Amino acid sequence: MKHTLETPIGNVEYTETDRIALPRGLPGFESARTAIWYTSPQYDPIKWFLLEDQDGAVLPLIDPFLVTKNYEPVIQDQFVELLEVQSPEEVAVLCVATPKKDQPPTINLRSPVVINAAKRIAVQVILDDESLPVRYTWDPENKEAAPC
Amino acid sequence: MLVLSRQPGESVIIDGGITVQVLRVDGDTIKLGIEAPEKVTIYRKELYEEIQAENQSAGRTGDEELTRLSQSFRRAQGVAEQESEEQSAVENQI
Repeated sequence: MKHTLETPIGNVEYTETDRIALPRGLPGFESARTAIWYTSPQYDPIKWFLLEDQDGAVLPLIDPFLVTKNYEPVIQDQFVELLEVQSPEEVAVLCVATPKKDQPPTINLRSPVVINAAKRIAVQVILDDESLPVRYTWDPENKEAAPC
Repeated sequence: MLVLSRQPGESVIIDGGITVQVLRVDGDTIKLGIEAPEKVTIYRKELYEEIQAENQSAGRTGDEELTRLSQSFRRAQGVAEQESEEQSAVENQI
């Protein structure tokens, strides 16, 4: 059965299979327990977590390899367990992209969203690697500036 | 807020399973040792708050900026694909 969710990016139709569990909530949206997974050609390559009961918040997510070349997040064991991961292929890693007014967007490389697509569970981890920036300024013109 | 005075070497125990021990006091720096079950996450608060603020900011952006954001990624993706095509064209010539 299809449902409709009103969001800042328009009315989105979804089914229950698009729902992803967030056992730990998300930093800043601690009470969110699920998100609706959404992609649309209009916003490609951005993917979305649509949050219900969070005043219409929608989280833009991008593949970190679009902005960096050698990103190798080390996910702590506790999250691997939480996500019920059995093999690395089950896992997708995406990063939150923050649009800035009149400035290039920033990408949160320190705290990626890790998703077990098969089991539909996600957690936003905070990596131990202090060299990874929370606000990496993505300048599409300057590839050499990538931190990793 | 609960306020307790502790000497170096002394601890508090939270909820029966989390121990916070004062290891050393050195001027205005206090070294804490924390023992907790593995599933408990422990972060420096300023880092957690930074990530909270970043998510809040990303999650509450208007449609116009989000459209612009996807366009800029699309452009970059297109450029990258074009470059790799050019690269393979060059390789083919060789």
